[in-house]
Amino acid sequence: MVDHKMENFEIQLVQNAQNGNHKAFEKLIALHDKRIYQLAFGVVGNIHDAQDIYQETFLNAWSRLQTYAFDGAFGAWLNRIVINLSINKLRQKRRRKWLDFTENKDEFNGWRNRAHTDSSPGPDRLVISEEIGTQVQKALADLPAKQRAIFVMKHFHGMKITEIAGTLECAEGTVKNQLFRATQKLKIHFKRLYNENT
Amino acid sequence: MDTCKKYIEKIPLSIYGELDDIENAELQVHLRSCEVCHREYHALQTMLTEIPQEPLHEAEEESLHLLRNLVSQKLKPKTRTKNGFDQGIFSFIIQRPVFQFGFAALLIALGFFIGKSTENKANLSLNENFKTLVSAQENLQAGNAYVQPYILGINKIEYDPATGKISIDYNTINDIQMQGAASDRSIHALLQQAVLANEDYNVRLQALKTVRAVAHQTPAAFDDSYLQVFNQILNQETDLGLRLQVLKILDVLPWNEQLKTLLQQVLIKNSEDALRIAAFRTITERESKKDELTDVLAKAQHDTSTFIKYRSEKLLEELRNSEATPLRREK
Repeated sequence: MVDHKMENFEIQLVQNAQNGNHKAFEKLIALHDKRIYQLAFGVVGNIHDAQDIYQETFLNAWSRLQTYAFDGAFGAWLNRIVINLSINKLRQKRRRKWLDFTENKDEFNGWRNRAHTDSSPGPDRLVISEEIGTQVQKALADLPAKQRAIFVMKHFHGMKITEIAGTLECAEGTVKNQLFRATQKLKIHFKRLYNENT
Repeated sequence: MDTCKKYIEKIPLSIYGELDDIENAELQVHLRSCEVCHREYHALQTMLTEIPQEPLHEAEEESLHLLRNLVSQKLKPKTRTKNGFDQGIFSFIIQRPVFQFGFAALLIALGFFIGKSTENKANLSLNENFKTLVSAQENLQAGNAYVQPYILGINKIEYDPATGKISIDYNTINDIQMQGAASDRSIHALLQQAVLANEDYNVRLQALKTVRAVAHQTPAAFDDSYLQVFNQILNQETDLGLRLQVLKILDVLPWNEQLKTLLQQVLIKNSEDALRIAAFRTITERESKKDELTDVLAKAQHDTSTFIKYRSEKLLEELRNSEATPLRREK
């Protein structure tokens, strides 16, 4: 769960950045960029696009900084930008029929590394963890962009339904419904996989 | 079944802790009486537990640092005013069409002024305006307006070892050739621009070779700003040959703490064996403090490169058997 409460120094940084202070904005980037990058990666699913979106997010935030009116946490405002850019990017890519999971092999290393440092594992367990990592990526790639974004925000970033609704600027009921659909699709994906392997 | 549908939709919310106590209690009562929903709950709970909850990709600090620099560089030309409009060179024209004619005339006059004074690639003396134009750090005053000067590209760099003069062809709103001594700060500003931002590989290579030649002849001309530039090249440059050039330059610069830190970073973090070996050689040949060298060698023993492992073991052994550092090179 990400804490979006704003400290005084962050408020000061935002105010300074709104007055055109680059250094203040760079400090804001350093405060939020890890989460922004991970959100982007979660939705678009590859490093290259995630890095593009990272840059677009902060450039976009800088040019629209005057529209931020302290009516919510600055981090939540950034989340809105990164998620919208990521969803748009994913939709554009899908329109171009882009989906080649073999490209993402290297990006599963994070999963593999975690699998190898798991405290409980025997060799079988390692294989299962690695397989799950790959399969989750594949299963997520089958979800519509918005459903994927909702699942990523909920499952991997522990955001509350109200926060997700605020980020996507939609009703909480919509988020709940889309989350349900996403979990059902993931379940079907894993069930099919299980049946294929037995 | 309608009742079941209502509860099944609540299952993921219950697993994620998004139901209030009353809703959760209702769901639990239903699960106890409905085998289908009970199985569904456990199937979903098992699946969601199996999917790790950490973000899908752990961002490395080094990559983030690089991305921050990229954003920072892109922000600079986009300086924003308090009212939210860009202060870029053409923005106020876009805002107010009435300035269009005036600004166009101003640009023509400025181009004419520079063209006249350079006589299209004539050699220039370094007057103050020209220095401002080269450094691109301050706005250039022309009449009542201020113009932010841009360097559009650097086309050619020549270095004459006999005279120590460097000649650089570049464009702003005109073609310009600049000549200067290796100690000239404007020349170094252009060289740094070339090694960092020029799109043409040959120009970047030529700029680095020039920097290397200057480093050999007048190492004192290099200040800390160059170390930052070298660090950026080591992180951003895709060509290994150019990154190796940087290590060769670092090898001849005056030995100080900043240089040592940069080389140690290369030795510890860089994934290219060739670069780590070059950094290792420089450190081991130039570090005169025995304790610090021992630390570096102890870490280098775990390097993946066989050469570094072997050399660090040998040097450690030599260090233990002697008072002085083994390979110290006097500069």
